[in-house]
Amino acid sequence: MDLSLIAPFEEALKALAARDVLPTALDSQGLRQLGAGFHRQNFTSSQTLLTDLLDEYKSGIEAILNPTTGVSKDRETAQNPEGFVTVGRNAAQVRLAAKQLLQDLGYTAAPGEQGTIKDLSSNARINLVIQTNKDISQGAGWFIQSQDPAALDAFPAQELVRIEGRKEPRDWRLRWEQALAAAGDAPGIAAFQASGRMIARKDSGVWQALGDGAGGYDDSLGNPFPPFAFQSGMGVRDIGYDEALALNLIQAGEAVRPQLPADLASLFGMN
Amino acid sequence: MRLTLKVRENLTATTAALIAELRGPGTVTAAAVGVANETRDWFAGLEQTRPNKMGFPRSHFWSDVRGSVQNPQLSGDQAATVAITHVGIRQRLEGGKIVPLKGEYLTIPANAQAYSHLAREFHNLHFGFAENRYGGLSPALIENTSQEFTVGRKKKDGTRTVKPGRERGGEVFFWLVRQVYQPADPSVLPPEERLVGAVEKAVGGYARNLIARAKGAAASVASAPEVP
Repeated sequence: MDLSLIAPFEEALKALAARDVLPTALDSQGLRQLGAGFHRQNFTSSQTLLTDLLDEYKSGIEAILNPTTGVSKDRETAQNPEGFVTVGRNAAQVRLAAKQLLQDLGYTAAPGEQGTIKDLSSNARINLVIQTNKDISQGAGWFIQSQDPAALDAFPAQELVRIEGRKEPRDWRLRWEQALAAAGDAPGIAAFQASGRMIARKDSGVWQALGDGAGGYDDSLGNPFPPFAFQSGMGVRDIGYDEALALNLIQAGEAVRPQLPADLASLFGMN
Repeated sequence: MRLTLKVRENLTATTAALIAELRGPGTVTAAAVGVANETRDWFAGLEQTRPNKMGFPRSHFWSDVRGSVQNPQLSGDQAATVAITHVGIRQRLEGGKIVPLKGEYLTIPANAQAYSHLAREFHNLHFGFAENRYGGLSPALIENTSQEFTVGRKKKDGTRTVKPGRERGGEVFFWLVRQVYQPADPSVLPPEERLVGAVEKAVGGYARNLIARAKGAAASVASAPEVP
């Protein structure tokens, strides 16, 4: 078994590449109504008509997802005698490029909107675009990879967990209950009541319901994989066969089937 | 760099027997997904336990690293690779000297506003020397000084009162250094015994699932009505 620091995240890159840059005057609510399938095929940002800016974001996120390996004499250590160095971009570099582009384009925010999320050049706005699109690409890549039948046999369930702390965390336990109810996931409801943990089978409808904002949430992203909602800080972790069996989420020897939205199944040839 | 885990030599006899019984890519996949999951859990733990040393707002570095851990790619029926595709993890793991790629200096953030930002994102900094924590003078990028003013209401004669407010600036945003040496930190990856444990758990569960499925299939065949 190898742990590698060099292989590209091909599924994440492919999910990102499949999205065509599309300028739009729609606000976030208008965009949300277009559905997740639209967003998995188009790279947009609320009320952003600047194609160059969207191109810059997309190429920047691709560079974050796909670092390469170079060699530098400065980096030679006992642990790294070859002097390998990982070369790629980070969020700060992508943010700087976006700011410089907006400056070159002569962009100025509308009066009263400077520094707010509506200001295309604000840290808050740029960070949101970079973080959300990076997380969605990685979430899609991980989701695709997890559909392998052997992976599903070994890890047939997953748990919704907090990965990043938030100053004012949203009530994800309530959202989970509402998503379970919307999906009609009786084993998931029983497991939640028994364990207090947000665990469900990977083929449960609860993941899509969570992404759809079941319960009336308008911050969701429409995908059955993390981050589920803007800046949620939430993720999933795999739950193994023995634990899923103990929680009565599956029967002994039961196979959990791959569950892919049609557009992703088509993109990855998994129909 | 590749970190090769010789898990095969460290497995218990029970798991080794199961692997022998269930040879094939499925078992390797299950084992490697176990490694990937353990690695993700390890990074999630670092996200909770390793805030930045200066007490600045979290940049969620370890959460980002966790998000870059991929599920395994098989290389043949006997081996798999779990990739961590993040620009910063190698430096943490292996350490080494960092020198500027462009210009003379590296910029080390000195306050919360500068943390997670590049110096070029700021347009109000100038080069200078400032007192460092040891009492000496070090090169730095320092915030320009500016004077705040309060403009009063328009008077009958059309003029306004302008009162000077507080003076701002002078704060060090970045320290400038010619190079940094970061020590290697092998603790950023889970210890081998944890990965071996994860492999055993994953393969065990996978095997029990397949065995139960095979038993169920055999039972259903045995109980099927005879075809006349």
